[in-house]
Amino acid sequence: MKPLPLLLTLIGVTALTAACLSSGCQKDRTIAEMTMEGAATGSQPSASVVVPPMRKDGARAWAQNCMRCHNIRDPQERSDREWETIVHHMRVRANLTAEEHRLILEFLKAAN
Amino acid sequence: MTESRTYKLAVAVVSMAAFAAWASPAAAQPDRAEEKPVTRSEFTRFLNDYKQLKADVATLQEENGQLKQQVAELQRENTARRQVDWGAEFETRMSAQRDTIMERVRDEFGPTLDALSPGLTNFTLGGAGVITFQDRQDVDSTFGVGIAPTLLWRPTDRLLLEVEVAFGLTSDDTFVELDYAQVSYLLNDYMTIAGGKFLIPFNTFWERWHPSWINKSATIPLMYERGLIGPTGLGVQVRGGFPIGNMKLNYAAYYVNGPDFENTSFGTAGNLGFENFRDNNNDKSFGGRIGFLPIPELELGYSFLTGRVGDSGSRFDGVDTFIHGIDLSYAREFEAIKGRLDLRAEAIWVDTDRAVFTGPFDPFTFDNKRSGWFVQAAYRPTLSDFTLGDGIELKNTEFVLRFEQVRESGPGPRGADHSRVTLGIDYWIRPNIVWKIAYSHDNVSGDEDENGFFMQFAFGF
Ligand code: HEC
Repeated sequence: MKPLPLLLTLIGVTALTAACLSSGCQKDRTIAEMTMEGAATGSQPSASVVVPPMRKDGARAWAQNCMRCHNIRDPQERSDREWETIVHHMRVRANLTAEEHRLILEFLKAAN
Repeated sequence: MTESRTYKLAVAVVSMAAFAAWASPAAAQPDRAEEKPVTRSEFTRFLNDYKQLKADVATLQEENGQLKQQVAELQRENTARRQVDWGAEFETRMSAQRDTIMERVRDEFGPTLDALSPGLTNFTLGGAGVITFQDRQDVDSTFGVGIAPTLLWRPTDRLLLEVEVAFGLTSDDTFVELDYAQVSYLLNDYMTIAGGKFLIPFNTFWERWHPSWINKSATIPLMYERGLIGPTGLGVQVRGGFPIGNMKLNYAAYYVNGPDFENTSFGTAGNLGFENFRDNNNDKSFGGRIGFLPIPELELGYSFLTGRVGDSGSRFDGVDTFIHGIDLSYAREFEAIKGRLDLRAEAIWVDTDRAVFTGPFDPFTFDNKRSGWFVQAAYRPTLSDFTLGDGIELKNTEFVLRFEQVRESGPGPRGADHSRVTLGIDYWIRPNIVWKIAYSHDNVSGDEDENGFFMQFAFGF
């Protein structure tokens, strides 16, 4: 089995499927949307947090970025001070922009 | 009978009669009024008075009853009020005591606490720990343990120091290792510069998901186990990310001591080493990665690393290497499958210059190329409500399947193709605490297979 053709095919298929699914080929919602809704209503799936409406952008940035590499961590796990350091740490690790950093930190501080 | 005796008798009779008259009731203090009959009007008046009195008594009795009831109610209320008051009283006394204690604590520890306040010493703990059991074919089964706490220090809004030290046990020793130690500085909104010993941004495994509380499998991908590329670099890097419309691009470029070259042992000659001690030559290695996210759930990456690996002044002086790789990660929750799908795939190609090594009998040489790939899919039924018995929830279970292969050139058995299929099941106790079991089936061309059973309990801080 030659790795390169196999991987390129795989990447192509995944990219196509992903693009198709996210552009509405199917009615499924993205995990970010669901987590955000879950977060907004305090229900499942990932973390039960009540989010005021103005935190929506923060919740979205959190849901889209903070579950990319590992399970999303509960905002209540850490204090404001700790989140300041950890989100900084994750900004460096995940190549986040200053805007994402600010929104996510604001959200975590409001939700913990 | 004499005259005096008759007189005495008369006196006695009269006295007795008088006594009898005094002692008889009829004769006692006769009231002249009683002797009068009661008139009709008098009788009527008395009767009316009597009736009035009876009515008064009844009213009084009624009032008395009401009063008794009221007293009982008041008593009840009073008892209740006394209890509430006790609660309030207790609170007041406690808060007074608290205040006193706090005051004393402030007096005693205030200066120390001030010294620890934000800005100067903002320490946070991260890192991971793991307990393992593995049973590989042809190797004695064994338990293992390792812990790698990470210390994060953020002295200012832009500076971050991260240090991870690993403690563990090898087959006959305890090891302590500096996993990484990096200082980074946020240069602007889209760029960070960093220096030290850092996890190398080549593909994604080492930098993004090697910690055992993140890695969904109980084993690491074969191409990393075989050391096609190591976890860290010692040098400087610049990195960041920026949006392009709704899409995102991220980048990293680094300049490091780079790998060295093994040339002493027949079994490993030509392999690269990534221990990152002092460099073995004056040429530093240069590398980078570009990541592209067309949608937030999907990232595609290309990485490379190139540099001189031979020891300066030796006959391997001019030996260079060029390594490159691609990676893909995709994660999304689908209602149709009631869960989350996590797909990761990577490939690496290592191309090192040909060299002539001293063999046990004759010098030998070979076309020094190594390559490897893996595809890993994980499924977790996050939307399922199914529970098993007491508290075991299906949505905390994750199924992981990985296919992979490594191809190496070299003398004898080192030229083998090694492929592996690993099936694992994880149970997530918390987002950062997990039980994992895995079975891997190996196929090594021209050599013994290395099937194995693995168990892991991992946690992240
Ligand atoms: C690019 C992958 C990636 C992304 C995206 C990511 N993390 Fe992490 N995260 C990691 C890795 C890797 C570690 C382990 C770091 C270590 O121990 O070296 C980690 C560690 C953590 C920890 C443990 C404490 C620490 O700082 O080490 C927390 C909490 C955490 N992440 C939260 C988050 C949050 C919140 C976000 C969203 C802003 C996020 N992560 C996004 C990769 C990522």
